Amino acid sequence: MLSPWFGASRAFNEMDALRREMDALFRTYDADYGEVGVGPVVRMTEDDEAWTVFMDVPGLTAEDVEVTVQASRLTVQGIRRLAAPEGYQAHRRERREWRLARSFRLPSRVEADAVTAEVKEGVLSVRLPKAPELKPRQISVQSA
Amino acid sequence: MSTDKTHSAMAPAVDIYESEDEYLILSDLPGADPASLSLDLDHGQLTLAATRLALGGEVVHGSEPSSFHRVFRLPDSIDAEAVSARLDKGVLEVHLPKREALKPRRIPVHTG
Repeated sequence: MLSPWFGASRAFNEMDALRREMDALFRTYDADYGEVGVGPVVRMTEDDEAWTVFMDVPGLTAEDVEVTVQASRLTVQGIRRLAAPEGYQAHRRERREWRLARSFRLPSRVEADAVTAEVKEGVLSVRLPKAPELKPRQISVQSA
Repeated sequence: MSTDKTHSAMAPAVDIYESEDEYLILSDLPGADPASLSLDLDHGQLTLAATRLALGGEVVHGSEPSSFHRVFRLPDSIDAEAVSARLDKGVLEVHLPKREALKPRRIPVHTG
């Protein structure tokens, strides 16, 4: 016998699957950074409308980052290059150059056509809107 | 120039350069709120502090970003009055000019 909550729990399982895919993305992305950076550099938030992935890309502008969606595949690419200023000698160099090149399949829970991205204050955010069926809906309760 | 890392907040990565005229600190502060950024120079120590902008929404991976904090011990040769800084694209640039008297000076050598 199916419990009355069967449908709801399946929806939660799908959300978990999305999170696992996101986690896989984060692991590989973190690996690109190596030991560089103290503390977390990739984060994801969720609200009623969307998931948003944040990546620290200090020094980069929107022109330096390429985000594409093709056939449900999201690709994020970018290169950070650092040039030593001319006429200076280095005492300490902790900042690193890196190349970001990640691609993953968007789960069906994401509206692939509506993905947007921006770079602000050295942080890239990729917004993944939820498919309409995942958005909360107010159910009107009628009195008998 | 040396630095102290603190454990309560994230210590941002820094590059430190020196030219004849100045020291230059470059620091990665992604997501720092420009209004929160402070640079305090006191007794030969430069303290950098900034809080990160809140992400909005519930954080489901990683943690809500907190703040940046790092202390630099400066050489005596810096002209504290002339220190300047700017934050652009999440990278902080601090210029610390050397005092005039300490800049290298070429002494003309006369012949004859």
